[in-house]
Amino acid sequence: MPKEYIVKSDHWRDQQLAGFKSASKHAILEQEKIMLDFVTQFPNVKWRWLGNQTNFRNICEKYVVLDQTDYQGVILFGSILCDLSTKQLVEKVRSLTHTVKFAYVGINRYQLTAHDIDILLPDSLDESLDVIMNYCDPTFERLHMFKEVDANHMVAAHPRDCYGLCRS
Amino acid sequence: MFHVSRPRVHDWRQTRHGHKYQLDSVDQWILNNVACVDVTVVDFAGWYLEQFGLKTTCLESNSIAKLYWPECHVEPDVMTWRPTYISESHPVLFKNPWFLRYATIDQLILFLETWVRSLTIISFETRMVQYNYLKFKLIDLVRPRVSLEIEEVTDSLWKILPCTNTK
Repeated sequence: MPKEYIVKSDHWRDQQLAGFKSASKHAILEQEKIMLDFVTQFPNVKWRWLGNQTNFRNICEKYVVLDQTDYQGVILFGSILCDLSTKQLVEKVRSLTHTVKFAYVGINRYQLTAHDIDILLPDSLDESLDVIMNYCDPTFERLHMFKEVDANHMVAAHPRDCYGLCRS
Repeated sequence: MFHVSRPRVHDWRQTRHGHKYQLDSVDQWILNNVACVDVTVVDFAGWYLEQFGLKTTCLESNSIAKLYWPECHVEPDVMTWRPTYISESHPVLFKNPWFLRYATIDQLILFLETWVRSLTIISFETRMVQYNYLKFKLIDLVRPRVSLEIEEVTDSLWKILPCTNTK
């Protein structure tokens, strides 16, 4: 059994789970399931955890191997990607994923501050995020659409646009 | 949900023990710029403004608010329903309305058309409305579609009046 990681803050998860009747702290939220579905496709990959240090990390360790030094994939979401311009986002995603074959990147679309890359964005935010992630690496593929996540809990939802990277 | 509009829930809780509520910048703006003493406050536990000289008509979406302010009116669908007992001349104040979070532009416009009969102040995080904030300004998308005078006081504070132009 992996050692339980010390949880720093579960405020957001707690809020989300509180919206579901009878949900325990070990429940997996829909958008977390999207991440798990992606990373568990690669059972031999060790993952570097660059997400928030919540109880979800403990849950993930039951499904995949997390290793902060010896890894072939990265899991990237949460506060590390908050309050960034599109240029900063691209630089950060590139710098954290360029050495690995696999990556999961979850972006809170409302945490981008401004668009400061010299590329024209499409009119929709969905398509704009796709363009930005494609600019990070053309191999990134969207794993779901924003509207499909936590559809019944939109008010409290912590929206995440999720992308998967799989370099062959 | 009404407590979420408080910048610090602790401060708000203290008001139940007789402490004066600590005003935020939106409150300050309202007190400095809304001349009318009678105001309608919608779904933000706005009765604390009574401590600062305003006379409030309070609408709340959840009946729990009655525990704190028995005089408040409970209206579960304030986004699309403007009760007829609400004055059409007194200013109406919205702070961080939960129903604008993830609203579409069409829903926002319908809400504005439903509610704006007099001076209306809305404090909200504009980027949480579903539009491409990386490319557009929300006010530029809304203005051409409504017959309202919208002034952007700050990025998150709109002052709206019914259009007075009569052609």
